[in-house]
Amino acid sequence: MATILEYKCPCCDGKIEFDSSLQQMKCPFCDTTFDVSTLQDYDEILSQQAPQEEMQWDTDAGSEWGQDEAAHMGVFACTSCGGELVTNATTAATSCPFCGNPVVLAGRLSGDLKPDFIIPFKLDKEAAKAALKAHISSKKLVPKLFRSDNHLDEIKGVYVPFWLFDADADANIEYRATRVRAWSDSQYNYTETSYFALLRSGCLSFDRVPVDGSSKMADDMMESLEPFDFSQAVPFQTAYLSGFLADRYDVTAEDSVARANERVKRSTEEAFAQTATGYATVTPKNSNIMLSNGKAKYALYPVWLLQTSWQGNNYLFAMNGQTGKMVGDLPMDKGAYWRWFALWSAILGAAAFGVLMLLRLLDII
Amino acid sequence: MKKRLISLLFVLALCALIVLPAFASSEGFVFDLCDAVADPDALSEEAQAIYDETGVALYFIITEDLGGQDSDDFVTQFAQEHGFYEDRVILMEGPTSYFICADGAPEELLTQEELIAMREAYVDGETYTSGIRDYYSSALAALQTGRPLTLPTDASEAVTEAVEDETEATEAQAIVPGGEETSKHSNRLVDDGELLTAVQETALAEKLDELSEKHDLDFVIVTEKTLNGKDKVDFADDYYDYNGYRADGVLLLCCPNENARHISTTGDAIDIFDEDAFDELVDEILPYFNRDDYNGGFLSFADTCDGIITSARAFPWGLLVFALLIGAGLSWLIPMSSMKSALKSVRSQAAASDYVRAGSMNLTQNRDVFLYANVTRTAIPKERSSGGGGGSHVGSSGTSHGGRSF
Repeated sequence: MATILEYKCPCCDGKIEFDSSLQQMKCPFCDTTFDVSTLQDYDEILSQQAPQEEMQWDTDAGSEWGQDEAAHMGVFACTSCGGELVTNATTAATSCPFCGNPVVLAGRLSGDLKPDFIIPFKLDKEAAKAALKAHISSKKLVPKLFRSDNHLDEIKGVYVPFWLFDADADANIEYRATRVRAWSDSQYNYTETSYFALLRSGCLSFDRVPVDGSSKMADDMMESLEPFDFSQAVPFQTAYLSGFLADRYDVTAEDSVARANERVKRSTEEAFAQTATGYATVTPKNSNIMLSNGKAKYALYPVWLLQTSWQGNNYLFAMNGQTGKMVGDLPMDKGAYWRWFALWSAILGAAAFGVLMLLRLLDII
Repeated sequence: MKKRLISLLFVLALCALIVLPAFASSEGFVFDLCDAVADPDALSEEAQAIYDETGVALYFIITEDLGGQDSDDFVTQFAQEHGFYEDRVILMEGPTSYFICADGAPEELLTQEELIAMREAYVDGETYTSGIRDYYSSALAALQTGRPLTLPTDASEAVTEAVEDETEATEAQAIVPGGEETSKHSNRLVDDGELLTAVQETALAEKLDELSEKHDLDFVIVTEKTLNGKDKVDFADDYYDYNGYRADGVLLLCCPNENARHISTTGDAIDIFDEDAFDELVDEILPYFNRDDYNGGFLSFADTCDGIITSARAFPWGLLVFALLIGAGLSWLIPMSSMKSALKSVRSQAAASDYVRAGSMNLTQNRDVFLYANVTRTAIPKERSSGGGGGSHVGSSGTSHGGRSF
C-alpha cells in the first residue's frame, strides 16, 4: 500500500516540500528551510501529543441543610435586583447590599446547599471605613469633592459564596521559542534568530481555585480581592453568620468550572514555560491540558461591601474581610489629570532638554 | 653758457622750494590711505596750528600698502610726492609696523628717545583720533622744552633718521589688538603673502573687525609666502596664540606657495566648529581657492563663519520643542498612566498561580528541538573621513585648538 506522508511547515503550517538543490525541506510559502531529520523529530513528538483537552470535575460539593439549621435561618430577597441573602434568625437586613434597594422580603431557607467551609470575618466595620479612606486619599487624580463630599450610603459585611476547585493538570504543551545572537564584521551587523519547538509534558496540582458563585457579585471584583488564606477556613457553622449577611449561590458549580479551567490552563502554561530558560521569547503554540481528580467545594468568604454615591453615580468598593485588601474603581478628575500631565511634561521635558544639551555639548548628537 | 644753465636750474629749484609749501599746506598733515581715521581734516587743522606756532610740520600717514618698499623709502618718496615741509616729523602706521622720522630742524632738536615717546603716545591711544592727538601733544611738549627753536637755514642737508620698530620674529608682527570695543588695529588681516589688493584688504579687514566685535570672537586671516619649514597646523595655532588675539577665535592660514591651508579654532570656537561645521565651511570656500580667487574665498570664509557662529549660539528652540515632546510622551507613558491605573483596582485574575500545590510540578518530557534560523544583516554606516585635523589638540603655548586642513 502506497502511503503519502506530507509534512507541515512548523513556521506557517503550509505544505512543505523537499528541495533537491538545497537537499533540505523547504516551505514554498515562507521560504524557511529545515533538515529532514528535524521535521521527522518534530512530527514524532507531535504525534505523541494526541489526547484531546478534557476537563472533568467532580462537583459534588456542599450538603443539604439539616432541619434544625434551616429553622434558624432566614432568607431575604431583594424586590429590585433579585439578590438573595441568607442570615440567621437574629439578623435583619434593612436594604439590599448589591443595589441599595431598601425593600427586602424575608423568607425561609429550603433545599439549599449548606456550605462546606467558611472563613470568618477578621476585620470589623471600622477597619473597612479606614481602608476606604486610605484607598481614596492615596490617589492623586480623585476629584477633591469626591474625597470630601463622599459619604458611605451603606456598609455591610457579606459572606460571598465561592466554589473551590481542586484538580491535577496533565499538560502536553508545545512552545515556540526564539534565541537571538548578534555579531558583526567590518562591513555588516548580523542578527541570527533561531527558532525552537519546546515540548513539555508533566503534571501540576491546584488546590482550591476559587470562583465566585454569586451572579450579583461582579466576578472581576471578587477576583481582585484574592487571595484568601484558606488555612484559616473552618467547617461551616451557622453561628458565624451572626451579624453578617450571607449571599446565596445562584451560579452552580458546573457553570463555574469554565472560569476555573481558564485560570488553571494559563497557570499551567506559565509554570511549564518557566522551565524553558535561555530563550529570548517563549510563547505557547499548542497546549493540551487534561484535568483529573477534579473536586469542588462550597465555601463562604468574608467581604465588606461599601457603597457610596457621588454626582448621581453609585460607587461600590469591596474589602477582603480577612486580609483587608480594598478594591473599587474611582472617578477621575480630568482637570487634575491635565494639571499633573502639564507638570510632569514640564519636569521631564526640562530634564530631556538638559540631557540633549549635554549630549550636544559632548558632541554625541 | 653752462654756468647760466646751472644758475637757471638753481633759481627754478629755489622757486620750487617756495611754491611747494603752498601745495603741502593744501594737502594737509594727515594722510589716511585706508579710511581709518574718523576726521582727518580736523586733525590737519590742529597740525597746521602747531606748524604756525613752532614751524615744525607734524605729519601722519596710515597705509595698508607700502608698495613693496621698506618704511624708510616709502616715507621719503611719499614726502617728495606730496611736497612735505622740510622741517617735519613724520609718523607712519604701516601694515605691520610703526615708523617715525624727523627731518630738518626737528632732527637737531629732538632726541631719539623723544621720537620714540611720540610714537608710543600714538600707539597707546585708544582710537586713531586720540592716538594722533597724543602724538601731537607729545611732539609739542618735546619741541617746547625750553630750548630755543633755531630753525636751520640749510635745509638741503637734512638727514633722515628713522626709528623703526619692526619686531624681529616673523610670526609675531601683529600688535595686540586689545579687548576694547574700538580696537584700532586692523591686524586681523595679515596679508604677508600679498594675495590681495589694497582695496580688497581694506574691505576685508573691516569685515573681519566688524564680525569679531559682533561675536566677541576674533576672525583672523593670515597669508604667508612661506611657513619657514613649520607645520601649517603649528604655524596657525602659534600665530593665534602669540599675537594676543582673544581667547576665542578662528584663524584661516593660507600659503599658496606651499599649498598649505588650515583653519585653526581656539576657545569657544573649538566647540562651535564641529565636524559638520568644518564640512560646511570647507565646502563653501574651497571652490574659491581652487580657482585662485583668494579675496572671494576670504570673504566667503568670514560670511560662513558668521553664519555658523550665529546659528551655534542661537537658542535651540527646535531642541526645546523636541525635548518637551519627549517629556510629554514620557509623562504620558510613565507617571500619568501609573496615576491613572491606580484609580482602577478591579481586575480579573488571569491565572491561578496562588493555588498551585507547592512541589506538585512533575516534568515528564522536556525536549528542545531546533527548527531553523534566520540571519539578517545590515550594513555598518561608514565613518566619515575628515580632511585632516578635527578634534582638538594642544599647541606649543599650552592652549587647546581645533582645526581642519583642506
